[in-house]
Amino acid sequence: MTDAVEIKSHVIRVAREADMDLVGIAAVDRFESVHYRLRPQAHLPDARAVVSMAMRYPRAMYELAGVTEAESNMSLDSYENSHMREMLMVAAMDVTRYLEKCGWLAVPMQITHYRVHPYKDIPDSWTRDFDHNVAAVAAGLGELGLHGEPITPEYGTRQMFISVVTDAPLEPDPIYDGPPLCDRCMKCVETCHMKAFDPSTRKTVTIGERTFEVAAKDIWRCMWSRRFMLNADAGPRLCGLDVTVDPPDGPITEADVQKAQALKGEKGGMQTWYIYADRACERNCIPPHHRGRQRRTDTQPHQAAGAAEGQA
Amino acid sequence: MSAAPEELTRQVKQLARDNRMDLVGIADPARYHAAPRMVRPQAHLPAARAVVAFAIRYPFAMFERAGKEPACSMMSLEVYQNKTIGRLLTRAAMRIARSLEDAGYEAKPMTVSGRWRVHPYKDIPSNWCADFSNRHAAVAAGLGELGLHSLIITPQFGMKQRFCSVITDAPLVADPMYTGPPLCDRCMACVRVCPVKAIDPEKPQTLTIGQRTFEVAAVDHWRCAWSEQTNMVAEEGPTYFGQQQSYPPPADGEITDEMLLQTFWRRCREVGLQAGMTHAMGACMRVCNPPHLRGTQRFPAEALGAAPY
Repeated sequence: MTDAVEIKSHVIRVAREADMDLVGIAAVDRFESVHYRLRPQAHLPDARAVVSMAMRYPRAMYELAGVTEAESNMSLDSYENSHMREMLMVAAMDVTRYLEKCGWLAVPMQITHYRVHPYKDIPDSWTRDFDHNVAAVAAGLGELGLHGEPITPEYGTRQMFISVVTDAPLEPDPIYDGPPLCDRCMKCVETCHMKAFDPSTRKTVTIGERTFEVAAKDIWRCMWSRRFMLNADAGPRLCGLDVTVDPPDGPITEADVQKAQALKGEKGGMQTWYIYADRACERNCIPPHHRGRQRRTDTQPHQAAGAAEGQA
Repeated sequence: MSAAPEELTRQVKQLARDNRMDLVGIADPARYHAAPRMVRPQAHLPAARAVVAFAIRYPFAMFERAGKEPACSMMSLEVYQNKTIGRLLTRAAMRIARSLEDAGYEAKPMTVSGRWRVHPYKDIPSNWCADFSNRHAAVAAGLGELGLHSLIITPQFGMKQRFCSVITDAPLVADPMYTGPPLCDRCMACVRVCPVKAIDPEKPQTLTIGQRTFEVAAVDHWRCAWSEQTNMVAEEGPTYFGQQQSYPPPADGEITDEMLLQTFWRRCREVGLQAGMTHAMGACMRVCNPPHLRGTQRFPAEALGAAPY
C-alpha cells in the first residue's frame, strides 16, 4: 500500500485531472450528527475518510440564466442535470479506482436518487443515502448557510458536490473557520417561490467541532417546485410553460403531487417534458465577500485543500 | 494503414487502458462459427476481422456492500452501473472505433446492454436478445468463461465488471481463449438465490465459442426480465430504495407481454413517486464468486495493473 500522505496528494491530483475545482478530506468522526444509516461507516464499516469534491458552475451560465435577453435556462438545466453530474461521477470513479489501486477500499456515493418516504428508522422524506452537504463542510470546503446548503469561500453556492467513502487513512483537512459565509441576509427565505423555509424554526447541525443553525425546511414544498416543477416562476415560464399549480395548505402528500402533475400535463402538453426549475434559495445566496463581483476571477485566492498542497 | 497488426493491436489495447478499461482482449470472428447468423460480428460488419472486447471493473466495496446493513442502499451500485460505467464503456468504444477509422479501417462500436429484441427475431431464436453479445465477445477474446448462469466470469474480477465491444475489419491479433482453472465450480448459488427461479440447471444447454463448449443452465429470460428489467421483486433491489411492495411472477408457466405489463403498470400505480427511482440487480451476479476469489476482501493487486487507475 502506498504511503497515506502520498496517497492524499495523488487523490487531489486525480480529482483535479477530473475537473474538480475543490477537494477536501473529512474524518469520519465528523459525521456523528448524521443518521447512522447515512454515515460513511454505514457504507463501508472500516471507513476512515471521505473525499469531498466539487465542480463549479460556469459563472455566466449560472448568473445570467433567465435574466438576459435570451430569457433561457436551457444551458443551466442541461449542464447541471446531465453533464456536470456525469463529470462528478466520473471523478468519483477515478478517485475510487485510484484508491483501489493503492490497496484500499472505496465507495463512490451517488447524487441522483432519493428515497421519497421515510425508510426503516430514517424519519425524513426525500433523503439520499449519503449527505454530500455535510461531507463538504466536514472536509473543510465551506459552511452551511441558513438554507442548509454549503457555501464555499470560492464559489458561494455555485458548485455541485460529490463524495467518496474510503478506508484509506487520508489526513483530514481542517474544518473551515474563516469569516462567516452566511450573514443571515434572509434572501433564501424571502425568494423561495414555495415558502418552504421557516426561519422561526431552526435546527442545529453539528459537523466536527462546528455547529450550524439552519432554517427548518418543508422538503415536500421544496420538491413541489424543484423536482416536479409545478411553479412557473421558478423556471418553467422561461421554457414556455406558464402553468403553476398551487400546493394545498398544510402538509403535502404524494397524492397531491400526482394530482398536480396530471393537471400540469393537461394544461402544458408536450412542453411539460422540457422544463427546468431553479433553486431560488441558492441563486439568490451571495456570500458577503462576493457581493458586487462581476466575474469568477474577482474572487480572492483561497487555500483550498489542493491549493494548500500546491495542487491547484 | 501503416502499422503492422501486432503494433496496431498494441495501440488499440493501450487506448482501451488509457480510457479506464481494466480488461481488453481481441477475438477472431471465426470463433463465432456456432452462433446464430445475425448476431455474428460479420452480420454487423461483413468484412469483420476482429472484435475488441473490453471491460471496466465495478468498485469492489460498492458491489459487495450494496444492500448491506446499516446503509441498506443500492443507490451507488445502480447509478454508477447504469450511468457512469455505461458511459465510460461507450466512450471507450467510440474512441477505439474512431482511432481505427483514423488508421484507415472500419469499426463499429456495439451497445452496452440495455437494448433488446424482446421476442425472437427472424432466425434468432432467443427472446430478450441484443443484436450482439458483449459477454460472448469477451469469452471469444479470452477474457473469461461462461458460468452456469451463462454470464461471463473473469479470473481478475469474477462478476464485478461490465463489458462492451468494437467490431472492426482491422487485422488485429487475436488473443488465445481462456484455458485456466475453471471459474465456475457449479456451486449452484446462482440457482438458489434467484428470486424468480429463472435459472434451471435441470435443463442444461451447450454453447460453443471457438474451441470451447460450455454447459450452461437454461435461463428463462422473461422471468429474469420480470425482476431485472422492471424492478418488480423487492428483495432483488427495490426494497433498498424504499419500495416495500413486491410483485413476484407466477410460480410456473410461460410469462407473456400482457402479464408483465399489467403487473408493471400496477406496480407503478401502487409504488408511486418512488417507482422511477428503484433498481434490481440480478442476485445471480451478486452471489457468484469464482473459487479462487472467495473470501477475498478486495481485488488482487495484480488484477489492477493495466489501467492508469
